[in-house]
Amino acid sequence: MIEPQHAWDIKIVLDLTLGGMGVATFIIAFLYYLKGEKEFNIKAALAGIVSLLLGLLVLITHLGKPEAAFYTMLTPNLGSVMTWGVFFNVFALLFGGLFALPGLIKLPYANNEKIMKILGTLGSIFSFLVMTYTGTLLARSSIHLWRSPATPLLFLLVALSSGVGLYALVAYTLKKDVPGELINFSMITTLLAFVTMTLYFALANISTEAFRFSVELMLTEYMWATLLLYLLGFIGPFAVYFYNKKKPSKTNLLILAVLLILQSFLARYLLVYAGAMELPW
Amino acid sequence: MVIDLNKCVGCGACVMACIAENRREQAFKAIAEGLPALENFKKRTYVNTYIVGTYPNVAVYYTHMICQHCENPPCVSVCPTGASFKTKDGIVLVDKTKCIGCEYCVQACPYGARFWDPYLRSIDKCTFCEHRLEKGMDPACVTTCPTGARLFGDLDDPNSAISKLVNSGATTVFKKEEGTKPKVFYILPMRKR
Amino acid sequence: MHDCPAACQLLARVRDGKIEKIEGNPKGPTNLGKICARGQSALFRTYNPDRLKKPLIRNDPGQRGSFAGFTEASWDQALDAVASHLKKLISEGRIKEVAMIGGWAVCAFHEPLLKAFAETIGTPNAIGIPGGACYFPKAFGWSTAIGVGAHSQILTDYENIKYLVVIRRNFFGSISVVHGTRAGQKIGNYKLVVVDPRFSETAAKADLWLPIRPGTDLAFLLALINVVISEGLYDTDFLRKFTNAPMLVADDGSPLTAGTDAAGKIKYLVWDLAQNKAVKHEEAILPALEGEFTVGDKKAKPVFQLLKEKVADYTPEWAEKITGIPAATIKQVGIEFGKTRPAAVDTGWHDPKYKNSVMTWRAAAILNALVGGLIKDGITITGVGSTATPPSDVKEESVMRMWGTKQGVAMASKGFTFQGFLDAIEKGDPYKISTVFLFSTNLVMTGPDSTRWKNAFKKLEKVIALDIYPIDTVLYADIILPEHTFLEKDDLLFGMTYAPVVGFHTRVAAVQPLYDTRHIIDIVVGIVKRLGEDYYNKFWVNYAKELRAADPQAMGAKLKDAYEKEGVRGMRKVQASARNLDVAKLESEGLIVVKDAVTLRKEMIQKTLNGQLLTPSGRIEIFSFALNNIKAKKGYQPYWDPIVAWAEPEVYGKADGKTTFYVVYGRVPTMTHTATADEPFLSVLTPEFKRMAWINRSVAESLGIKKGDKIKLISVETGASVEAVAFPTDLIREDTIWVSSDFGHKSEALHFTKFGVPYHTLTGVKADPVAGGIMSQEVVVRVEKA
Repeated sequence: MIEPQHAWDIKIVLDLTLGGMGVATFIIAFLYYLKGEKEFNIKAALAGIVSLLLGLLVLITHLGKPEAAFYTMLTPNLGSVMTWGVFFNVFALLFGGLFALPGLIKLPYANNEKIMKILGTLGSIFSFLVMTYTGTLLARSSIHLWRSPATPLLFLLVALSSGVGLYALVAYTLKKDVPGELINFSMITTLLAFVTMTLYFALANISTEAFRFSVELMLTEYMWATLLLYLLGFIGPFAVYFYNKKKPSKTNLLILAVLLILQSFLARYLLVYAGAMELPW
Repeated sequence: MVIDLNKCVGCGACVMACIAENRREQAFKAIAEGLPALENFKKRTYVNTYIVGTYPNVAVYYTHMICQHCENPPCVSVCPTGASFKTKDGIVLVDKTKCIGCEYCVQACPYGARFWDPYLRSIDKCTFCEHRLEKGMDPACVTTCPTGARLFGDLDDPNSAISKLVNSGATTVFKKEEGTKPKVFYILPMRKR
Repeated sequence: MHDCPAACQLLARVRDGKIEKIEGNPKGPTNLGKICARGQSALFRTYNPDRLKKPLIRNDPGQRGSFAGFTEASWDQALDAVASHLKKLISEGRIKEVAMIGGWAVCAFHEPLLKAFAETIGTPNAIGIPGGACYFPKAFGWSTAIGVGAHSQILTDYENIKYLVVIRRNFFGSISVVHGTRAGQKIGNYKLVVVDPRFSETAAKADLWLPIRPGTDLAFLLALINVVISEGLYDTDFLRKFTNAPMLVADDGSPLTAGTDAAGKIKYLVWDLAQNKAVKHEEAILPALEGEFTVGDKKAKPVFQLLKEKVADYTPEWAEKITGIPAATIKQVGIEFGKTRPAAVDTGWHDPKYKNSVMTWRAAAILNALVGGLIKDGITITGVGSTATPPSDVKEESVMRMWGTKQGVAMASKGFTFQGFLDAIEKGDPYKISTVFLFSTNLVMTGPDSTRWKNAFKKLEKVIALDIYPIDTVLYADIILPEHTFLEKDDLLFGMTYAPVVGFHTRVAAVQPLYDTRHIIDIVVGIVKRLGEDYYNKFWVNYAKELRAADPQAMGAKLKDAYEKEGVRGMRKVQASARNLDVAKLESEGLIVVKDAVTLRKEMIQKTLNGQLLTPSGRIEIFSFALNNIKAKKGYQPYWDPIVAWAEPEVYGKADGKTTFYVVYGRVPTMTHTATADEPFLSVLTPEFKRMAWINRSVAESLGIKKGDKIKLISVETGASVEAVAFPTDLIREDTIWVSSDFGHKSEALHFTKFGVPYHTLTGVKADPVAGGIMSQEVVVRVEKA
């Protein structure tokens, strides 16, 4: 019998979206920080960390027994991707947070180049790990839809897309320009995400029954999300991008940013909600 | 465990015995909440009925879901806190105190054997009635089955009835390709003519 | 021991005064340590929040049928109210207007109490409904051959059987454990042929499923008899020694009898081929089974010869036209049945279903006799069967008997025709019934033409109900007297039913009563006491008499004494000592076996050979003296042919499978009749499709009916209509619809019931001409979308 999974729902989707977006923004912010633009990028990095933190708070409310969460660090099972994920998140928050906090309050080490570089680098490394472990975690399950190299790849790509999105939103808010190369980069991640997502559909009919069932869900019960993803999440950004080339404006970039974030949210929503298991009963 | 689907008549005694033996407190709470809670009451084991054929050439058979107490349990490897663990006797159990309710194990188990118990605030599943085994009794479902469809024993003992049955080739396992090495064996139903 | 007619032996695990678990008692010879889902769920019965917790009184008959308007009362108030009503009736000379009606709980365990109560206050109108609504037609059919036949009295030897034909029964679906475990453990050891219009849980295990036209199982069995005889596969030795097959019957149909013996058994003549003359059966060396002989001035044939001539027309081809089963299959089954030893037709359990039910089971018995599948193997007699006495007659002036007699029911004197209460309540025919005591019965759901019962109850002066739940029927009462559940009480000594041993078991209370409930015996004694000293004393003597005491006066006094000192436990001690049973052992283990299975079987074989069965002749009767008597009184009808004959069900040919359909009903493994519908877990563990009306898939398609559609089943005969949810399936004949009779509760006070079909809305009030059974499956319906 095929059973759609019920254990993970909107809170997981939100954690995935906010977390992936947050850490991607952080990495982007740190890279531009290294290029010289310090003040703004610390604030952008902070936005990323806030997004990551928000995501984690939502995740903790999803747990059946949140007060036991510390056991993940007290009696960790190192064979579990989730255990590693906890550590990645914690260290990303720690180092990334320490790096970005000067954006909020005055801190003594904020002007120390060396310390900031170390914090930023460590934060970025763990941020990258956070971006990739989630897809791996989903892949190591009995949900056939998730059980694919495409899933960690997709998660990485949409995280990067949404990271650009949040970065652009911060820039818009603080009246800064977004580097053109970053926008171009987001087109690449969007294109690749589009290809990766479409692969799920392309490979469905030679896959297992549970996989086929999931894809069918995406085309029936969750058709709305699929349509929104493709229209707003994939085609939309390109449309805005080319429109902006003709008639550049800050509003276009705002819309683009929102669409990129939606791309990440909708892709993760679809994948999580359409997941199904093949039970032998 | 061996489940002989030829003997199973689908009466549900095993399902009810497990609830009465292992989830009594939860059961009372669900009763107090009413029918919706009872409809959603999760089970450590259940029986599904399948109807095949076209009148008058028809058949009905049953499948039994139960934790397979795998030798290579995916639920143990994915659990972040080690709340899911395997005893030296090969029984897979859940340490309630350490379970955080992330339900990763629920997603990892290919048999759908685990579930979140909101009354216990922990993941729950079949324990092979470990508390009964300690007293030399069989699991509740095995003891009660009127037709003797469920059998239990020590696979490490080559002379036990269950070892002989498994070694005779009469049994099969499900989802072998997952590499879980399940310890619940099934004798598939045979239509006699 | 569970509060279910299957009477399994149970153990209850209790901790800190709370029941933790129910297990089968491994020492119990009935269920051999196993119990079903209902047994496992039983602890929740005691703790069910829907239970009746206090006596309730309502003085507004207009609210009968709902749970509104009741006020809680003390036991004194409630019992006073009952007693004062009875006193009023007594003083007005109207005590005969009281009817006491019991369900299976009473029938299985407390019928003596019911009858003693009625006898004491002076009404002849007391009966359990299961006789007419369940077992008597089948039991009577068997008993015409072997003297007993109730489900507790005969047991298929599943342990050793090699070929089993099951008709009109679903022992893997109703899963009474005594049968389910024996038959189940041996699946694969025997060839199983299941004859059922529906692919039941038992059919799911069969080697051969024969989807027979409803009501025609008799024709199938007759054809099997035909094949076994024509192929010469019968056991001549068994027929000669154990049965009256050699008995000589004259041309005019009268058997050549030779007086009676000291025990009152009819003696008869056979033709001894060795001595070449007619002698008494016990004096013959080689009694003839076939031929025609001259005895004095009469020409006579052995019963077997008559049987052979009679079934000559009942060929497989003949049966195919009636049953719909291919002739070749019937012949094949007949040959396999005849060639395999031991082979048997299963005992059956519940069959009040058709006009020909009695004859159907007689045919089963005869088929078994032909292959030696009675008493020694095949169908054995249980412990209680070995000590049974025939059901006693009820008083001539009882409503049940008077109505039965008026309907022409041959066995009306047994009083099982409770259907008669309807005319008495509605129109005072033969006389008015104004007061009804309901003892653990759900009569408005399980009585035929349930709407009529509901309306009748609204007309009564007073309705008193004893029960544990506010079930549909209890809602018609004015005074509700709540009982203990079985886990909260000690109970009397009962014979072990169904088991192939002679033994006794009892109930020992697992926990203190949770609520202000009482033991049924305490309730009745409480009422009787209030009627006065002489009623009270008379009651104990009557009770002892109903409990079959040799000296009711003496035993009555003992029981009274013991009850006054120690209540029901004291009574049990008296019962135990009267049988020389170890009371301490009984109270600690709950059961005592006095005769094991091997000994019992040997005894019964000897008894049969000695002509000591309960039949009039003491042997297995291929020619039934009881049926012959009926023929003498009422003239000939195939329904009571002394040997065996085809007799049609009332619905024969009345369904065309396109617009009209036969209706059949059955059980589900998670339910015990209607009694467990409010068990929280059993209710949700029942798969929904078992609550729906099963209709053949292609028929449903042609009617545009899909799974889940609401449909109406409308009785062609009565016009009564009932709603159901459709389940199109391949598991049923095209001309038949199946529903479970376990559901359809409407009581607003039951919070765990789910949907279903209240089956008896469709039935009409009938009585089969032999046993008075309610003919519960003589129903044909039209189907409409609702």
